[in-house]
Amino acid sequence: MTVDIDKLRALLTVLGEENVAEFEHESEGVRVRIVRGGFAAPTPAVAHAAPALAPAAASVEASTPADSVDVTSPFVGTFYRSPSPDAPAFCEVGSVVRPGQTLCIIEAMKLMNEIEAEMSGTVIEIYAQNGKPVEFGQKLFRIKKA
Amino acid sequence: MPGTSLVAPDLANVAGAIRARGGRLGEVIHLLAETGSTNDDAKAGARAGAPHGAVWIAERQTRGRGRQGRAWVSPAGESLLFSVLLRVSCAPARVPPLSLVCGLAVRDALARVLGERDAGRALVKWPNDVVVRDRAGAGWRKVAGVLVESALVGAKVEHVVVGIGVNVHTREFPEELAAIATSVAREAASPPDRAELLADVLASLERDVEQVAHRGLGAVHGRLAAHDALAGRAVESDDGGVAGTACGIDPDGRLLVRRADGVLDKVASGEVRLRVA
Repeated sequence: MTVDIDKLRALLTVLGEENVAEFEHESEGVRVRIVRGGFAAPTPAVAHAAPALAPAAASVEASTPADSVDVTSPFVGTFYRSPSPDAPAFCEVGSVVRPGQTLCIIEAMKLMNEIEAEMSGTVIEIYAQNGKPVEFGQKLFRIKKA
Repeated sequence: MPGTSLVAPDLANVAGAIRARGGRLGEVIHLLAETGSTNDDAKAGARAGAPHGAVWIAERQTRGRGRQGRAWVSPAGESLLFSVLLRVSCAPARVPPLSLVCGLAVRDALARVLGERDAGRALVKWPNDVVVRDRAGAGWRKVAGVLVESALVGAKVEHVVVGIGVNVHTREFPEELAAIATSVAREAASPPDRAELLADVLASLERDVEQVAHRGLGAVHGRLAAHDALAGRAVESDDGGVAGTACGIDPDGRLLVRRADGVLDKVASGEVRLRVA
């Protein structure tokens, strides 16, 4: 496994400039996963590269910043950002959400399950893609607490 | 009961039919001549504090819908359209299998109307479409659809709303549906009664929902297997990602599909259809 330091540095710069909290990429057997410790931090707190298929527990990650929380999938299913294909999305990055507000639908066995926000805050990251499968516990959103 | 003058006679006695079977589902009934969608009414009711088992019944829906907002059309008085509010306190992962339980409840009620000789023709196409097999045994037609909607906040299940639409009295379907849809009236020997049908569905839900919510599909798995329309059939997922032979439903409610190379796929979401050879 090799890591091209110049490429990694360029990547970190772009992620910092774009204010991306988390990034994961896999190519030619090398998986790169970057979690920025503080969302407003000018440089990433941790940069870590792991071989593909490394157990998740083996990766070194910065803990979730205290001022934001991840919303995860409650079960295996399909992720939908809107109630129907031609309807607007429940939320976008930057949306301010209130407790009880619907963030998305996870469909499993034709059960349409609305995931509601637990707290007031701002959506700062949408990890999952509309219409794509999600696993149990997979991160869907990051919400910055109000 | 308020509302009884707004609906056709075979629904007017719905409260009596439900009471005769006992149970907590259907203790509160909202009978409506017309509404947008009974699921929307039930969801609004859930947020306003309606009790477990509250039922919304409509003669006509103007915004009836199925999966991902697909329209569901029904002429007034011909269908049985209702939603039940379930308040279950279980782990979120126990909720999706309830979708299969709902299909099974409608199937059971349909089988009873069809009578002993024809009960075996009432089947469930995973996850919960209720279909009637042709007498020749080659194909089937859909008689009822189920749309279950739930809401989760963190690990708490806020509510589960079960929406059910059954074609009951319909004799003629529009051309585009004629080959794929049927009604209880077309399949049963005696004229169906919507109040009795609804009371039977609620009684079946009453028996199975709590059990499955807390202990999983074990108690109903034998019935799911016995009435599985897809078993042994060549199927594919609607996105084309899975194709093979359907070979049952696993303990979590997922459809098992054996691929040509022998690998077993487990389908948790989306739809599957019969594959045309």
